[in-house]
Amino acid sequence: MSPAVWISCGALLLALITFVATQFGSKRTSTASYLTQLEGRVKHLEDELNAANLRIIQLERENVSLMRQLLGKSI
Amino acid sequence: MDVTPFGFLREAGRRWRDSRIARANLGKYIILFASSIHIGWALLLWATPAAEGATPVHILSVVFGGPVRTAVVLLIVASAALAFPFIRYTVSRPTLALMLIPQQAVLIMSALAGARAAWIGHYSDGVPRPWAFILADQLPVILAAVLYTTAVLEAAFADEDS
Repeated sequence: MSPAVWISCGALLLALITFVATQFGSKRTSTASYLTQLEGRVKHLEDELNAANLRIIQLERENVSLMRQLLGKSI
Repeated sequence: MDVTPFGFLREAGRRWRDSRIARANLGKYIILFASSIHIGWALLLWATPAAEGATPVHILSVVFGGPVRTAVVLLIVASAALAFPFIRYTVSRPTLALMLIPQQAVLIMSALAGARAAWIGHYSDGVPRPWAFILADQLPVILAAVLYTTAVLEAAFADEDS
Protein backbone atom coordinates (compact mmCIF):
# COMPACT_ATOMS: atom_id res chain seq x y z
CA MET A 1 0.00 0.00 0.00
CA SER A 2 1.48 3.35 -1.01
CA PRO A 3 2.15 5.94 1.69
CA ALA A 4 -0.49 8.29 0.27
CA VAL A 5 -3.16 5.61 0.64
CA TRP A 6 -2.45 4.73 4.25
CA ILE A 7 -1.97 8.38 5.20
CA SER A 8 -5.30 9.40 3.66
CA CYS A 9 -7.09 6.35 5.15
CA GLY A 10 -5.59 7.06 8.56
CA ALA A 11 -6.64 10.70 8.41
CA LEU A 12 -10.17 9.80 7.33
CA LEU A 13 -10.44 7.21 10.11
CA LEU A 14 -9.32 9.69 12.77
CA ALA A 15 -11.69 12.31 11.38
CA LEU A 16 -14.55 9.79 11.48
CA ILE A 17 -13.76 8.90 15.09
CA THR A 18 -13.75 12.59 15.99
CA PHE A 19 -17.08 13.11 14.23
CA VAL A 20 -18.70 10.23 16.12
CA ALA A 21 -17.25 11.52 19.41
CA THR A 22 -18.68 15.01 18.76
CA GLN A 23 -22.14 13.54 18.22
CA PHE A 24 -22.07 11.83 21.64
CA GLY A 25 -20.91 15.07 23.19
CA SER A 26 -23.53 17.08 21.36
CA LYS A 27 -26.38 15.04 22.86
CA ARG A 28 -25.19 15.83 26.38
CA THR A 29 -24.71 19.47 25.48
CA SER A 30 -28.16 19.66 23.90
CA THR A 31 -29.71 18.21 27.06
CA ALA A 32 -27.73 20.60 29.22
CA SER A 33 -28.70 23.59 27.10
CA TYR A 34 -32.39 22.51 27.14
CA LEU A 35 -32.26 22.34 30.93
CA THR A 36 -30.68 25.78 31.01
CA GLN A 37 -33.48 27.11 28.81
CA LEU A 38 -36.10 25.53 31.06
CA GLU A 39 -34.50 27.03 34.16
CA GLY A 40 -34.52 30.45 32.52
CA ARG A 41 -38.17 30.02 31.54
CA VAL A 42 -39.14 28.99 35.09
CA LYS A 43 -37.27 31.99 36.51
CA HIS A 44 -39.12 34.29 34.09
CA LEU A 45 -42.49 32.83 35.04
CA GLU A 46 -41.66 33.20 38.74
CA ASP A 47 -40.81 36.86 38.19
CA GLU A 48 -44.12 37.39 36.35
CA LEU A 49 -46.02 35.64 39.14
CA ASN A 50 -44.38 37.84 41.77
CA ALA A 51 -45.20 40.96 39.75
CA ALA A 52 -48.83 39.81 39.40
CA ASN A 53 -49.09 39.16 43.17
CA LEU A 54 -47.74 42.63 43.91
CA ARG A 55 -50.30 44.11 41.52
CA ILE A 56 -53.10 42.18 43.27
CA ILE A 57 -52.00 43.56 46.65
CA GLN A 58 -51.89 47.10 45.24
CA LEU A 59 -55.38 46.77 43.74
CA GLU A 60 -56.76 45.35 46.99
CA ARG A 61 -55.37 48.33 48.89
CA GLU A 62 -56.93 50.72 46.38
CA ASN A 63 -60.20 48.82 46.70
CA VAL A 64 -60.14 49.17 50.50
CA SER A 65 -59.30 52.85 50.23
CA LEU A 66 -62.16 53.48 47.80
CA MET A 67 -64.58 51.51 49.99
CA ARG A 68 -63.62 53.66 52.98
CA GLN A 69 -64.17 56.81 50.97
CA LEU A 70 -67.55 55.50 49.83
CA LEU A 71 -68.58 54.61 53.36
CA GLY A 72 -67.40 58.00 54.62
CA LYS A 73 -69.51 59.87 52.05
CA SER A 74 -72.56 57.73 52.64
CA ILE A 75 -72.36 58.45 56.37
CA MET B 1 -3.46 18.98 48.77
CA ASP B 2 -2.45 15.49 47.75
CA VAL B 3 1.38 15.62 47.48
CA THR B 4 1.78 12.29 45.70
CA PRO B 5 2.78 12.37 42.01
CA PHE B 6 -0.72 11.24 41.00
CA GLY B 7 -2.28 13.94 43.15
CA PHE B 8 0.04 16.52 41.64
CA LEU B 9 -0.92 15.47 38.12
CA ARG B 10 -4.60 15.54 38.99
CA GLU B 11 -4.31 19.03 40.47
CA ALA B 12 -2.33 20.22 37.44
CA GLY B 13 -5.02 18.80 35.13
CA ARG B 14 -7.76 20.54 37.12
CA ARG B 15 -5.94 23.88 36.98
CA TRP B 16 -5.37 23.48 33.23
CA ARG B 17 -9.07 22.80 32.60
CA ASP B 18 -10.23 25.74 34.71
CA SER B 19 -7.65 28.27 33.49
CA ARG B 20 -8.50 31.21 31.29
CA ILE B 21 -5.66 32.75 29.35
CA ALA B 22 -7.69 35.66 28.03
CA ARG B 23 -11.27 36.84 27.85
CA ALA B 24 -11.44 35.86 24.22
CA ASN B 25 -12.54 32.35 23.38
CA LEU B 26 -9.28 30.88 22.04
CA GLY B 27 -10.70 27.91 20.15
CA LYS B 28 -11.67 30.10 17.22
CA TYR B 29 -8.04 31.24 16.87
CA ILE B 30 -6.95 27.66 16.28
CA ILE B 31 -9.48 27.51 13.46
CA LEU B 32 -8.18 30.85 12.17
CA PHE B 33 -4.60 29.57 12.35
CA ALA B 34 -5.37 26.39 10.40
CA SER B 35 -7.50 28.23 7.83
CA SER B 36 -4.79 30.86 7.29
CA ILE B 37 -2.26 28.11 6.62
CA HIS B 38 -4.56 26.38 4.14
CA ILE B 39 -5.44 29.60 2.33
CA GLY B 40 -1.75 30.47 2.13
CA TRP B 41 -0.96 27.01 0.70
CA ALA B 42 -3.80 27.39 -1.83
CA LEU B 43 -2.52 30.76 -3.02
CA LEU B 44 1.03 29.47 -3.30
CA LEU B 45 -0.11 26.40 -5.26
CA TRP B 46 -1.88 28.68 -7.70
CA ALA B 47 1.10 31.00 -7.94
CA THR B 48 3.84 28.43 -8.53
CA PRO B 49 4.15 24.64 -8.88
CA ALA B 50 7.22 24.73 -6.61
CA ALA B 51 4.93 24.88 -3.58
CA GLU B 52 3.79 21.34 -4.37
CA GLY B 53 7.16 19.97 -3.18
CA ALA B 54 6.68 20.93 0.46
CA THR B 55 6.09 17.78 2.54
CA PRO B 56 2.74 18.74 4.14
CA VAL B 57 1.44 20.04 0.78
CA HIS B 58 2.80 17.21 -1.37
CA ILE B 59 0.64 14.55 0.28
CA LEU B 60 -2.45 16.66 -0.38
CA SER B 61 -1.48 17.09 -4.03
CA VAL B 62 -1.08 13.32 -4.40
CA VAL B 63 -4.41 12.58 -2.68
CA PHE B 64 -6.49 15.23 -4.45
CA GLY B 65 -4.85 14.89 -7.86
CA GLY B 66 -2.73 17.94 -8.65
CA PRO B 67 -2.00 21.44 -7.36
CA VAL B 68 -5.10 23.14 -8.77
CA ARG B 69 -7.55 20.64 -7.27
CA THR B 70 -5.63 20.75 -4.00
CA ALA B 71 -5.88 24.54 -3.93
CA VAL B 72 -9.64 24.34 -4.52
CA VAL B 73 -10.08 21.75 -1.76
CA LEU B 74 -7.99 23.80 0.66
CA LEU B 75 -10.07 26.91 -0.03
CA ILE B 76 -13.31 25.00 0.48
CA VAL B 77 -12.30 23.40 3.78
CA ALA B 78 -10.84 26.69 5.05
CA SER B 79 -14.01 28.59 4.14
CA ALA B 80 -16.26 26.01 5.81
CA ALA B 81 -14.19 26.09 8.99
CA LEU B 82 -14.03 29.92 9.04
CA ALA B 83 -17.82 30.07 8.78
CA PHE B 84 -18.19 27.92 11.91
CA PRO B 85 -17.83 30.68 14.58
CA PHE B 86 -20.42 32.86 12.85
CA ILE B 87 -23.22 30.31 12.54
CA ARG B 88 -22.55 27.78 15.32
CA TYR B 89 -25.79 28.65 17.17
CA THR B 90 -28.06 28.63 14.14
CA VAL B 91 -27.42 25.19 12.61
CA SER B 92 -27.56 21.63 13.90
CA ARG B 93 -24.64 19.97 15.70
CA PRO B 94 -23.94 17.39 12.95
CA THR B 95 -23.72 20.23 10.43
CA LEU B 96 -21.29 22.11 12.63
CA ALA B 97 -19.12 19.01 13.00
CA LEU B 98 -19.11 18.53 9.22
CA MET B 99 -17.83 22.09 8.82
CA LEU B 100 -14.72 21.36 10.92
CA ILE B 101 -14.01 17.69 10.26
CA PRO B 102 -12.81 18.14 6.62
CA GLN B 103 -10.18 20.64 7.74
CA GLN B 104 -9.17 18.30 10.54
CA ALA B 105 -8.74 15.47 8.02
CA VAL B 106 -6.53 17.68 5.81
CA LEU B 107 -4.45 18.71 8.83
CA ILE B 108 -4.02 15.08 9.90
CA MET B 109 -2.89 14.10 6.38
CA SER B 110 -0.20 16.79 6.47
CA ALA B 111 0.80 15.79 10.00
CA LEU B 112 1.10 12.11 9.10
CA ALA B 113 3.14 12.99 6.02
CA GLY B 114 5.51 15.05 8.17
CA ALA B 115 5.82 12.27 10.74
CA ARG B 116 6.51 9.74 7.97
CA ALA B 117 9.17 11.99 6.47
CA ALA B 118 10.92 12.15 9.85
CA TRP B 119 10.64 8.35 10.17
CA ILE B 120 12.18 7.55 6.77
CA GLY B 121 14.75 10.34 6.96
CA HIS B 122 13.97 12.38 3.85
CA TYR B 123 11.48 15.00 2.73
CA SER B 124 8.80 14.40 0.08
CA ASP B 125 11.03 16.03 -2.55
CA GLY B 126 13.72 13.45 -1.81
CA VAL B 127 16.12 15.61 0.18
CA PRO B 128 17.68 13.48 2.95
CA ARG B 129 18.04 14.96 6.40
CA PRO B 130 18.50 13.57 9.93
CA TRP B 131 15.22 12.48 11.50
CA ALA B 132 15.52 15.13 14.25
CA PHE B 133 15.98 17.83 11.62
CA ILE B 134 12.83 16.84 9.77
CA LEU B 135 10.83 16.34 12.97
CA ALA B 136 11.81 19.78 14.24
CA ASP B 137 10.73 21.24 10.92
CA GLN B 138 7.40 19.39 10.77
CA LEU B 139 6.48 19.73 14.46
CA PRO B 140 4.29 22.85 13.98
CA VAL B 141 2.10 21.04 11.44
CA ILE B 142 1.88 17.93 13.61
CA LEU B 143 0.95 19.95 16.70
CA ALA B 144 -1.58 21.99 14.72
CA ALA B 145 -3.41 18.77 13.85
CA VAL B 146 -3.35 17.58 17.48
CA LEU B 147 -4.54 20.90 18.90
CA TYR B 148 -7.22 21.30 16.22
CA THR B 149 -8.62 17.87 17.12
CA THR B 150 -8.59 18.88 20.78
CA ALA B 151 -10.43 22.12 19.96
CA VAL B 152 -13.11 20.24 17.98
CA LEU B 153 -13.69 17.80 20.86
CA GLU B 154 -13.74 20.60 23.44
CA ALA B 155 -16.27 22.52 21.32
CA ALA B 156 -18.52 19.46 21.28
CA PHE B 157 -18.24 18.62 24.98
CA ALA B 158 -18.15 22.16 26.42
CA ASP B 159 -21.21 23.92 27.83
CA GLU B 160 -23.24 26.21 25.60
CA ASP B 161 -22.06 29.35 27.41
CA SER B 162 -18.33 28.57 27.48
